[in-house]
Parts: sequence; C-alpha cells; structure tokens
Amino acid sequence: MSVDSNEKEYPVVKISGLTKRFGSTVALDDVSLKIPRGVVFALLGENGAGKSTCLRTLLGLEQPDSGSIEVLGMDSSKQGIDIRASVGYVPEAPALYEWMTVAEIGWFTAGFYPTGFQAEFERLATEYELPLDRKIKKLSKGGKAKVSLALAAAHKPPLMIMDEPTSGLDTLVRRKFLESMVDIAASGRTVLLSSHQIPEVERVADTVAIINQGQLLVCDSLDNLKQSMEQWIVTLASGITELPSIDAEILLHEGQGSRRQRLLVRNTTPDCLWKMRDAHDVQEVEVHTPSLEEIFVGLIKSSKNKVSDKLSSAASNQSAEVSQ
Amino acid sequence: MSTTMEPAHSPSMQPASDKQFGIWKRLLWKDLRELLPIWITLIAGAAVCACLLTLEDSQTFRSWRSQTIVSGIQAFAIMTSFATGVLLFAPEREQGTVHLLRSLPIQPKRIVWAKLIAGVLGVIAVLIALTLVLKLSLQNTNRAGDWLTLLYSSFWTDQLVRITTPVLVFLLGAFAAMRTGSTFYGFSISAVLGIASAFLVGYVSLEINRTIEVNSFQAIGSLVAVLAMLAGTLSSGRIWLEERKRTGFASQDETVASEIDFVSGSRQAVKFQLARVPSGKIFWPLLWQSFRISRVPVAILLTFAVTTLLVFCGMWIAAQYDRATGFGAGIRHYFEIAEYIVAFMTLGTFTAMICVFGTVFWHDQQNGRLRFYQQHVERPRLLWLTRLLPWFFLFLVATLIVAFVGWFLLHASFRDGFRIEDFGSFESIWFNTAPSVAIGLVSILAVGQWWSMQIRNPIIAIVLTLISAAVLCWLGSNLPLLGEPLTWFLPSIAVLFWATWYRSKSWLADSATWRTHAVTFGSIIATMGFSFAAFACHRAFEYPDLQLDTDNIAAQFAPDQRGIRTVERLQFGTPAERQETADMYRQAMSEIKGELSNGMAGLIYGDWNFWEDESQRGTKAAHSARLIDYDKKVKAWVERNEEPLKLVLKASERVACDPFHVDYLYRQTDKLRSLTMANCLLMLQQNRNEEALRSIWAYDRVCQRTDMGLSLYQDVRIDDRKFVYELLIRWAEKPNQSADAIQAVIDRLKHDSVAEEPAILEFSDSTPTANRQQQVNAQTAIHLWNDYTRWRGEARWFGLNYHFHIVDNDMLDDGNATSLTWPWEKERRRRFRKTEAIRRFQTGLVGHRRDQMLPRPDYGSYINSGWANRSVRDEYNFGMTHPQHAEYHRAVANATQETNRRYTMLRLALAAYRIENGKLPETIHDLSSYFDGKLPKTVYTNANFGWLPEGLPVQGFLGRQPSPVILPPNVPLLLPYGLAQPIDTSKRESFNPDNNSDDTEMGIPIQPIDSDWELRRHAFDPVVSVLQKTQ
Repeated sequence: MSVDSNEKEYPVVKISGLTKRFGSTVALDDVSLKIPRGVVFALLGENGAGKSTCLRTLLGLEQPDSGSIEVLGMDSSKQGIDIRASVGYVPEAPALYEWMTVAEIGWFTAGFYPTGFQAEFERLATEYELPLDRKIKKLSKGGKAKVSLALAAAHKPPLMIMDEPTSGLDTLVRRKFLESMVDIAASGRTVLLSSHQIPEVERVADTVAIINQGQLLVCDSLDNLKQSMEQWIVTLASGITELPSIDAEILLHEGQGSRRQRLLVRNTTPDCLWKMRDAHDVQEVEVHTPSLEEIFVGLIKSSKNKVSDKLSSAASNQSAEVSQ
Repeated sequence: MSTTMEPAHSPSMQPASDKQFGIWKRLLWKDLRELLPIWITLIAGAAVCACLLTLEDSQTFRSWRSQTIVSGIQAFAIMTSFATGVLLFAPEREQGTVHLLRSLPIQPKRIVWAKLIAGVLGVIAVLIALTLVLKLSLQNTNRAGDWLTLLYSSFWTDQLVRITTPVLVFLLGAFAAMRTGSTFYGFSISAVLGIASAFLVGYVSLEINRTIEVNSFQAIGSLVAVLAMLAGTLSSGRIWLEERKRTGFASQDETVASEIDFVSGSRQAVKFQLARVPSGKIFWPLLWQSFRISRVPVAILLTFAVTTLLVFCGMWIAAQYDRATGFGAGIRHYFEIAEYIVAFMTLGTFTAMICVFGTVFWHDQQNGRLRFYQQHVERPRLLWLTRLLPWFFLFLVATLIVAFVGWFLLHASFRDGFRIEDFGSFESIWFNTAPSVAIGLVSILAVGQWWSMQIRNPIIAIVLTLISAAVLCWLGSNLPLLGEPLTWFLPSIAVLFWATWYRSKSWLADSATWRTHAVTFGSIIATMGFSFAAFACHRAFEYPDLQLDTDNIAAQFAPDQRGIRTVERLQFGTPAERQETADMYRQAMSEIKGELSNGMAGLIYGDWNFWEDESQRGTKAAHSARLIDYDKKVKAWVERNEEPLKLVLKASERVACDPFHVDYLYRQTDKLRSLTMANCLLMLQQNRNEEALRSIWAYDRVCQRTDMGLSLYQDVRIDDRKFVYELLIRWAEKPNQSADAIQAVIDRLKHDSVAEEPAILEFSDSTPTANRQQQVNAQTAIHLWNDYTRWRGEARWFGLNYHFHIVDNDMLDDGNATSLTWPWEKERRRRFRKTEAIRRFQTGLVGHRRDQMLPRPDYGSYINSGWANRSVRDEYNFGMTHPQHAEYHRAVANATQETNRRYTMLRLALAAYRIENGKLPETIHDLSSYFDGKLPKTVYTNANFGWLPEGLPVQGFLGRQPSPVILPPNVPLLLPYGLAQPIDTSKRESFNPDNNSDDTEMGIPIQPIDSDWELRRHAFDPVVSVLQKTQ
C-alpha cells in the first residue's frame, strides 16, 4: 500500500496517558506511546500485564478510564467501528465458527468490508494452502491461525494488530507467520504485535514496548534498546562474594556459580566499565550485547523489585509509626 | 495531529450503504444456520411423536384428541423458543466466537438485533414446519377433525397469550443467556423466570378479574411482559458482548474454571487431577467427571422436569387459592394446564431424553479426551460404567417425576370428589401405565447410548436415536397388547447395554474388529427383531385372517397349512380359554370371509368405521349407495342362514357368556360388532329376542358401544315394536348415553311412527288464565317458582349447601349495587366497585362457596344460573353460583342429558305399555314393571316424574317470552321435573329472599334425597333385569 509522504510524519497509533481499570484492578496505568508507520511494533509483557487490554482499547472494544488514543487519526473511544474497519485484528486464540467452511467464513466476513475482501481472502487462503471447502473444525491449530490472519489481512489494512498470533503454532508455521509480518511492514503497513515469544519478536520487531502490571517500562526501537544496555559477566577474585559498587543502573544481578556474577546494566559509560575491571575484587569482566529476552527479563525483574521495595519500605514506615 | 491527518481508511473503505443489506443477510444467515440442526431435531422429534400417535392404536394413547395435539404444538413452540433464546447467545460466549463478532466493524446492537430477528424468524419457520408435519401426519387420523380450528378459532385473548407465550419464553431465554453467558445458567434461570412471570401475571389477573380463565388482563399483561423483556434483552446486549463478564453468575463460572478445564479437555488439568488419585481408585473421579461433562444436557433435562414440577405445583397452589376464596372458574384452567403438562411430559421430556441419551459417549470423543483416556485409563469398562451411571441417575429422577406427577394428576383430588380423570380427555392418560413410561425411557437410554458410541456426529446420533427409539417403543408396545408383561422387553434393552459394554474396549482404543462390529450391530438387529416379532405376533393375533387365501378355503382350514402366525406358534404363552375363544373367533371370521368374501362380512368388517366417520369421509351420495348395497347384502345373508353363521353365533355366544375374559376382543369392537350383529340377526329371525338382548348387553359391556339396538332397528326394520321399546329402554338405561343418540332415537321413533308418544313437555301450566297479561304473569310466576324449586332440587340432588341470593332488578337499575354484599365477600372483607358488582351479578357471578360443591364425581361439578324474564318488572332474579365455572356447561349438559335419558326411558315404557295393554297407564307406577320395580326419578328432586294421562284441562304455555310454545289441552303430559305445586299466593307474600335456610318454609314439596339411589342406579344390571323378567 502506498503511503503518502505527508502521512509518514504522523504516528499510526498515539496513546496518551491511557488508564484502564477493571474494578480495583488497574490493567493499564498511565500508558503513553507512539507507533510510527511502516514498522513492526512489538508489545511485550507477561501474562496479565495488560497487553490484550491495550490492544482491545485501541480497537475501541474497551473504553479507557482516562487518557486518549488515536489510531490512524481516529479517536478509539468514539470511532471504534471506523478503526475496526480500517485495521486488521488477529485476536488471541482466534475463535472461529467451526461449522463454517473456510470459504463460508470468508464470505461471512466480507460483508463487513469493502469490495474485494473475498477475492483477497481467497487468494491469501490459497497462498496459505488452506482448502476453501474444508470446515474450520477440521483444520489444525495452525490452519485456524492462518484463517484468522487471512481474515485480518484480506482488506489490506494499513495497521495489523495481532494479539499473540503465534501462540500454539509449530515452528514452520510460526516462521512463515513472522515472515508475513515482515512482508507487511515492508509494504509500508504497520504491524502491532503482542507476544511473549520474545526470541521470535526479536527477529522481526523494529520497535519494542514492554509492559508490566499495566505500566509501560520501556518503548524504544530494538536497536536503541540494545545499545542502551550491556550484559556484564563479572568474575570475582577468590574468596570474594560481594560485588563492588558501581555507578550505573543495574537492572539484573544474578549469580552464576560462587564467583561469577551476571549483570544487566543500563546507561553505563566506559569509565564505569573500567572502574569495574580495575576493582581489586574483580578478576575479569566480559561485556556482551544482551538479547531482547535478557533485556525483557531484566526490566521485568527490576520493575518487580522496585515495587516490592516500595511495598516493604511502606510496611516498615507503617510499623515504625505504629511503634511510635 | 488528528485534525490534519486524514484517516488512513477514508469512508471509501467503510461498508457502503448499499452493503447494509449484505451485512444483515450474513448475520441472519449465520444465526439461522447455526441453530438449524437443533430446529431440525425438534421438527424430527415432533414428526416422530406425530407418527407414533398416528400409528399407535387410539385405544392405547387416544392422543389424537384435538386438545392434546394443539397442546403439542404449543409445547413444541415453547420448547423451540426456549432453546432458541438460550442457544442463540450462550454458546457464542462460551465458544468465544463473540470476540470475532466484536472485532468486526459493526455496531454491537446490530449483532443483538440480528440474533433476535433470526430467532423469531427461525421459530416461526419451525412452527410452520411443525404445524405442517403434525397436520399431514394427524389430519387423517384425527377424528375430531377440528384441531386446527381449535388452534385458530378461539378468542383474541387466547390467541394473544398463545402468541406471546413463546415470544416471552424466547426473550427470557435470550435474556438469561446474555446476562450469564452460560448455557447452563441460561436454561435454568430463564425457566425459573418464565414460571415466575407466568404466575405473576396469572396471580394479578386472578386478583383483578377473579378468574383464572384467559382474559384481557392476561393478554395485555403478556404483551407488556414481552415488551419489558424485549427492553431487558436489548439492554443486556452490551453485557453479553463485552469481554469481561460482570455478572455474579459469570464470576461463578470463572471460579470453577479449573474444574471445567478438567472437563474441557486440558490434558494437563486432567493429568493433574488423575495424579492426585491413588492408584486403583479412579472410579469416583471418573464418575464425578461424568457428571461434570453432562452438566449442560442434564441442566436442560432437569429444567424440563423442574419446570413441569413447578407448573404442577403452581396448578396445585392455584387450586388451593381457588378453593380458599370459593371463587372458582379455575378447574378448566387446571385442566388446560394439565394438558400442557402432559404435552411437556410426553413430547418435551421424551425429546430432551433422546437428545441427552443420544450423546452419552459423544462427549468423550470431543476435545481429544478419548485419546487421553487411552493413555491413562487402564480399564475401559470402568470408563463405560462411569459414563452411564449419571444417566441412570437422571433416568431415575425423570421417571420418579413423571410417575409422581402422573400419579398425582390421576389420583389426588383437586376438590372433594373431583379428579382430573373425570375429564373425558384424560381417561387414558399415559401415566396410567407408569411402567410403560419407565420402559420407554430406559429404551431410549439404551438406544441412545448405543448410537452415541457408534456415531460421532451428535445431531446424526440424536436423529438415529429418535427414529430407532420410536420404532423400538412402537413395535414393543405390542407386548402389552398381547397381554404379555412389559418385562419381556428388558432383555432387549440389556442386550443394547451389553453391546456397548462389549465394545467399550475397542471404542476407547478407537479400533474395532469385525467381531466387535458383528456383536454391536447384531445387538440392535436382535432388539429390533424381537420388537418386530412382538408386533407381527400382535398383528397376527389381531388379524388372523389377514393371511388367509380366500381362493382356497379348504387348504386354509387344514391345521398345518393355515399359514397363520398365531401366538402359540411363536411360543408365547396364552391362556387356554382365551386361545380357544380366539380360535373360534378366527374360524368364524375366516368362514365368513371365505363364504361371503364379497358380501356382508367384508362390508361390515371393513366399512363400519366408514359410517361412524361419515362427517369426515366421503360424500353422502356415496354413503347412501353403500347403505343400500349394505342393506341388501345383510338381508340376503340373513335369509340364507348359512352354516358359517352358526360358528359366528357360537363365538358370539361365548363372548356373551364371558365378555370380560376376552380382553383381546375388547379392542376389536368393530369386529365384535359384526359378530354380535350377525348373532342378533340370527336370533331375531328365530324369535329368540331375549337371547338377542342378552347378546347386545354383553356386547355393550365389552365394547361400551350403545348403538346396537338402534342399528338393529334401522338395519333390519324389526317389526316387533314392543321388543324395540324394551330394547331401547334397556339401551337408554345406560347412564352414559349421549344426548345426541337419545335425540336420534326420538327422531326415528317419530319419523317411523312406531310409537304414539305423549307430548314432550318441559313444563306445564295448570293455571287457567283469562287474558294475555294474566297468562304472562302466571307464566312468570310459574317460571320463577319452577326455577326456585328446581334449583333447590338441584342443590339437594347435588348435595350442595345452597345459598340463594335474590335481588330485585330495581336494585341494579337504580344503581344500588353498592349495597349488594355477599356472604363470602363479607368474610374476606373485600369491596367491589359498583360497576364490577353489577357486571358480576349480570354474568351470574353471585356465588357461594364452591368448595361445597361437586360431591358427585360422575356428574362433575354442577352449578346453575337461572334467570327469569328480566323484561318483566318486579321479577326476582335467582343468581346462583356463576356460570363461568369451568364445568358449568358440562354439568348442565349432563343434567339435561340425564333427564332426557330417564325421560326417554319412560316414554319408551309408555309406548310399550300402550302396545301391550292398548291404552296408556293411569299412573306412573304402572310402568314399574319395565324397570324392575324401580321407576326413573327426576334428576333434580329424586321424585317420580309427573304423569297426567288426561293432559291439561286448559291450554298452557311452554317456554318463555316472547315465543312460548302453546300446550294444547287434553294431551297426555309427562313432566320431567315433577309436579310443581300450585302457587300459594298467601305464602308468596311472605317470600323472604334473604331467608333461604328452610326448605319447608315455602311449602315446597322436596323429597329427601335417597342416599341409596346412586348405588341402586349403578347396581341395576340390565342383563339381570331382562333375565329375571323372562324367568
């Protein structure tokens, strides 16, 4: 799909201060992000982190408690139907009418989209090697996922929103699926992907956002993210167990045996690294570029530690007040 | 930013307006197509039920009765609507396809509207199909022939309620499914809501209208309820569509999600559960799992059962309410509800059973559970057992409910002496044969579990279950007709269970050998074969001459060449005497058919129903031609007096001697009629009149047919008038003679001038009058007096504690109705508005305690409302308990019929007396010799009929203004109500309408009730009477 050069300046999705609660549970807490056009954008997080809620709010299926969302320039709280007509959505564990055939579900869905949907759906189904006359219930899980993808892509939307699209698929199907995402992005369209299959996301994603417990931990391009972080494998001198203090943000600190420590540090400087290497108690420091998975784990654990620290300090303050 | 940026997909990418139709079309197609299998199943169920009713002997089921059929349509309408409402919404939520709908670019309300429209369209289509199916299959066998008329000809209130009830049920089901998102809760809650709303509307209607009859309030209330539910359903659409469930029921669902995982096929969950089970103790977890698997179908079925129970309880409560208020009018409603219960029981529960039992083993084939069990369950037959046990439990519960309700309906008195079986339609309710219900249900279970193991598609399995269970039950029902116990059927059922037990190993392993296949299919073939054998045996037993070769009579009579599949040849035990009679009967019929193959016997044999159904079949011209032909053949046959008649006579005599023993002939009334006719004709030819009478009585007692005498008279033109009169007196003595038949006798007697009857008078006027006004006044007074007398008599005759209210017309005309009070109203401290009081008074709703009525179950309830001529001022109106009582018309008709019957007996006796003595009797007691010394009494007063052989000395009047019938003077009068005493004007002045406590106050000659009359009446045996007389 050709994209107007003027449109390239504007993000496809713009979320500002999005908060969504379900009763006392805060699903999304003041989330703000922008998704540029023509990228594969990955939204990462644990189960229950708020990814699906975020996507559903984008589609206008949920109303935000506060904040605003613009999708393709449309307000999701008011123009949900227009947004859903314009984007392709692959839900998590797509539920299809199992009694329909592949052709029938294409025909059924085509009624809601402009002319050309069914022809494109049939072309995609053929491309995905889906027999049109087979009932959905006779398809494998991968086959159903392909049907879902074909339904989402058949009207050639500028934005594809996929909620855990590769869940339950085998390796080959998953690989093909991911390749199709790259193809979509290459054609100038945008893919918004939610997943916890991080190694796969790393292969295709341009930009990554990580959510934990409703809070956006980070949103940056994958390259920037990797450049901002380093993984240090620190080997301590014999008899030393404590790591010397450093002037950097340690996201993750794990022991590997009695003397080896693994650190994930962010926003560090070469001086800091040299200081560590020059430290008396340190025998050796190896520096690696962290994988996305390591970054993800580091950020999530760091976030959880902060929360627990806050909670413990709050508890200690409370007990101190009580004792006084 | 957004203000400057055009949406990436401009309106050109939105669905164009011309595509709106396409959207609606697709949504409707999806919803209709989705529920199509269920609707087809329901229609198939209805068709099978209809075929069963059609094929089965009406003596067994009698379900061709119009009301039951109409109720069947209504019951299926409710079932269809109920299931449609729930299944349109709940499964979409449970299967998650609602997310697909939500992701589509359409407004949510369209989704809901499309479903509602699809549901309504589907239900309408199903009902049309259902109506056609029932019409096609039942029209030819429905002798009433008016079931469609009944369906469409009632009042608008009935129609509105009939229409709104399925709609309301549909909306309730949709509402509950939307709020809960669960099939289980959808069915359960909507059933409870349906019952509650029905009772709410019914109760308020009762309070306002004082009647449980369908009335305008109920109709409007139903309409309002429909609108309210429509609003509720639409407002619930968003809850159903939203991702997160917000209802308490949904959260309950979520809390048991882990348990459902165990059911829904999560291998990890199952593995986890099984890992906690000690080795060798897997039985209870599997059993519990079976209950969990079957929770939805069990919910559906139990909902049916509970709904039926609730309806029944409501009926009982309404009866109690009715009784407590003394208000009445409810009995008919109970009757109608009871018919619905019957329909629910027979159609709904059986269909639900079929659906449930047809999927016993199917559940395990879902979601890969079967493969999991292959790995984890070492003993396949343990799995087989645990899968079946919940259904046995279910079967037990359902059977108990059916048996209880059936028993209660038939045996518990709703009122003193009143039972629901007093209604004609319930004389052979299915529940009379509770073992049949049990055997039927267990047969369905056996067949259903058998198919569910063979067929993986649930719909096909259900349909096959439906067909084979119907065939099995139908064929097997011939066993009791053969006089064999139903327990004969149990081995067949056991064979089917054994077949699945045998196959369970290969079923679990998903592989079957030829031996397994052979055993499995052999089992059902054996079962069906056994049932078919019973059927064939029954047919052979019933119709032994069906296989006779009429061209080779001699060969047929050779014992070893008859080719008749008789009972003894199939090794079914038959009592010797029954067999002997059967042989005799068969031989006689064979000879008749052989000798007179184209003559009388064939015609009688085949065409008698033709005459009975004259109104239904053929044209009158054809009937007349047949009648002429028939008459000729009868005469020729009688004249020949051929040898076969002797056999006929012999068989018939045996029937006459021992009529109750040949119960197999009980069902062959037409054939027996042929025999008896032949026998009677022969005896009449030989002047053996008493024997002919005896034969007729035997026939009547066996077959409950009452037209033999008339047939004899009509067909052979018996000249012996005295014999005819005596014959017809005996015939008229039967207490359940129909008024139409009596009238037919009277008309024929008149037409043929057989009898010189006395004038038929209803009332007499012995008061000479001088002028017209005096005549009118006197007539009015006599009417008033007669009415009062009659009512008192009626009240006494029926054992009522009567309570008359006599109100001057002026009170109503002058608007003084507010001063009207009624004892029972006072008791309850209720006030009625003036207009309401007037309306009720005018409609006869001036009542007394209904719970003091209906002491005579054989006549049903009886109330009368007598109104004198209201055009005459100062006339007193007697308002007795209201005519809206359900049994009012029936009771009046019964009383009139009974009066006519006794009256006819006396008239016939008068005619016979005249022939015998050449004159009319002087007193009524002279006729006692015709009645074994027990003269018929008037119905109301239990006094002798009035007999004035000389008639009135002056001209009198019969009937009321403005067209009284003039009674000529000096014509013999027979007065059915007994003589009313001349009015004592001095006492009339002291007539106190409020004082009704003393019968003797007015000098009314009411005889005390003869308490033994009822006993004597029933103990009066016409056969004994004739025999004694002849001796």
